[in-house]
Amino acid sequence: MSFNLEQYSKKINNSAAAGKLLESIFKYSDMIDKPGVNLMEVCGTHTHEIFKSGVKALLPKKIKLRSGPGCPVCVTPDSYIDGAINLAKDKNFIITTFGDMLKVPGASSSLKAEQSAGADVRVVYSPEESLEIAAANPDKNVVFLSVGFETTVPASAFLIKSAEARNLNNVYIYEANKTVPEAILAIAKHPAVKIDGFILPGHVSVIIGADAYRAAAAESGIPGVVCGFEYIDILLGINSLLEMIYNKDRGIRNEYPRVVGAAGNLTAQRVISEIFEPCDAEWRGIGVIAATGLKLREKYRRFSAGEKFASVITGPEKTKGRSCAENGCRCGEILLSIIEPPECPLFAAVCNPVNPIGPCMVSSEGVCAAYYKYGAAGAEIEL
Amino acid sequence: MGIFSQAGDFILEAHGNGGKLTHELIAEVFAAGFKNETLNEGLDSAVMNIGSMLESVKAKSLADCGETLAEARLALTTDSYVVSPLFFNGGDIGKLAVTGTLNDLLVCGAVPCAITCGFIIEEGFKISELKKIVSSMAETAAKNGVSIVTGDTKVVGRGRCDGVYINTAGAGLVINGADLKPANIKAGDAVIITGVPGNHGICILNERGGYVDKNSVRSDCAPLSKPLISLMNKVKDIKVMRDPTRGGVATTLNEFVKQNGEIGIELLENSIEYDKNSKALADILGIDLLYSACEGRALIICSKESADEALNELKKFEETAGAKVIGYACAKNKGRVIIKTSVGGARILDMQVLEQFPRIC
Repeated sequence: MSFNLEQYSKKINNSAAAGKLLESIFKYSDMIDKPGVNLMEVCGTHTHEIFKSGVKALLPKKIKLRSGPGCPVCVTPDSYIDGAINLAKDKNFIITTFGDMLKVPGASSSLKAEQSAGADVRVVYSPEESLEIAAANPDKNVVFLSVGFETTVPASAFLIKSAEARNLNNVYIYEANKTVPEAILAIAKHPAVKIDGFILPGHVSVIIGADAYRAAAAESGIPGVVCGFEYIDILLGINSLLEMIYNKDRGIRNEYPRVVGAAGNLTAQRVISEIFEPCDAEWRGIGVIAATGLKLREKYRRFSAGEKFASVITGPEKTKGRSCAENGCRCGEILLSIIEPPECPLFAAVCNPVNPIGPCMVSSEGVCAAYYKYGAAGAEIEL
Repeated sequence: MGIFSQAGDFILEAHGNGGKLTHELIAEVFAAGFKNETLNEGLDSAVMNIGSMLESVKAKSLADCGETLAEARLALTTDSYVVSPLFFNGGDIGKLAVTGTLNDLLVCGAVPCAITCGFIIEEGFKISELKKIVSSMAETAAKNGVSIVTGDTKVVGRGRCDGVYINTAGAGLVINGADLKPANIKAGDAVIITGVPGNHGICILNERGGYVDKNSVRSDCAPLSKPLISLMNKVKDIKVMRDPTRGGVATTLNEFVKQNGEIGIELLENSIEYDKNSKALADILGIDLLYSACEGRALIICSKESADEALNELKKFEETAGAKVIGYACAKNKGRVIIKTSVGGARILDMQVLEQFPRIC
């Protein structure tokens, strides 16, 4: 693996341009004939950049940025976390995972705690690293925790293709991937959620393309803008969205054309649909949303840890503690932006990064983590 | 010598048993590398004359640490080093072990005088590598006018440690009048960093992960003896200094505001410069360089009026040529570190909560 640092050194942020965009944002905000405008940034990386850059405090008071369920670790249900912990506890397994999953609390443990206690849990940057681990450990079952939206699904699909090509019989994925457009429609139609526009995830859109959201926008009547991750991208996205709301434009705009096309990455889409098919999926705190999950197709079902090791996943090591909801965590309402993290009675005092109750407090994309880290437990900054 | 050739280039458990092999190892690796009069005495403790230390400090660094023994203040510090990998771009565990201890003395206003070292070595470790580490320690100490005056060696079985761990302790004499502590900070004081932050942490991470060519990100590991002693000799209004190692700049500044209790600190995002490659790699990996360790930087807080003088002094030295004011202490936002972002917003820079990456030093 090697990155091109030169490419990553190019920054497009520009404070003069930001000033002009803010002027325009204030203008539209005044022109929109509503007491408040709720914009949801679906993606957790947007949430963190909004806090990190300080954009939130610069917006007109009536523009509210609400954080959506776009942190893949956060929406993964308790049962899955406990299942992964049960696999990790079994000496016949090596768990490979993105680092974010490690600290997520299950009912009575976490993968990090199991790792400290001796479980073989390895952090990988690419799912394909699981292949070498499997080849080097033929007597162990290597299970990759396949959590993530369309951004990371192609890598999981490639893992399966490569495992088949190399005839490796001890590598599996524990499936929990989710898809975004159907979830956005479900949020838009949710009776308790009041959103006027969506800031759509940039990375997911690289794969699925900006057009993938058009059906949801047409059905819900709520516009969306595909948006990049620099503060200038976010201001541009907010400005476009306000302009669309003002003009009653219910479509989708792509303000991240330097990497997102209308149709997306067709090669990646082909690989995904070759290996996976849609299924219903459980979202933490929200419940089952139809057709927002991905399961392995019949031909590749033998790579499914969920299927093959169902008995290990559900017991006999079945965890004893309580789920985060039973502990009072209001992540369902937080993930739907019905409440903001400081409104949860556990926030900061009981639930914090050292002693997290729910995943939103530990994931690097988690909304509670963002409020805690950049907002010092909800306190206001004196400017 | 004979036994070395029998054993090959490897440390045996017997090298730690206090017997013949231990003596050979000490003679051929440690004494040969660190050679100085105090060590050569071969006693169970290093025995030193404090009066001569006072004179020697004055002669070597022009620092006034008191005229009489009654005035002299001793600074004493210790630190253990477990960095992985042992050799990295910009240094190695030996250079780091001496540098870290020197810098801990310096930021307390002390002129380093002597260092001790304790080695815990894994059976099977290459003696040639040990020699490289020892010579790197000796070179770093010599360049900074200190001797490694006593030491200890233990060997543990294969698999019981990761190659070699080093503990160093350091003693220094505190410059007259220096009373550096966070309680001294007042609203309006300037926050200076002596160079771009975070390079050590990101370098170690790259050495382990192999994300980019190892030469493209370099640890800032460097002792700050010359610039910091010179700064203390010339600039009066230094309130506190600290080297932002684990937890980086953000964590050290949070320690300042919490220990002070009466002030906040406001950083200006636009004033903070980064190494271009380190910043790019940190962005890719999702790491904030303000939380990444430095091993050759100091955070210095001085009165606003003396900030220019301090910068002029620091810029005379290569190690601190990149010194900059990055923010100010303030009366508002008490107990917090705030960063004014380049777009005109603000956010809180909290203390690091969990480990960003372990075993960086």
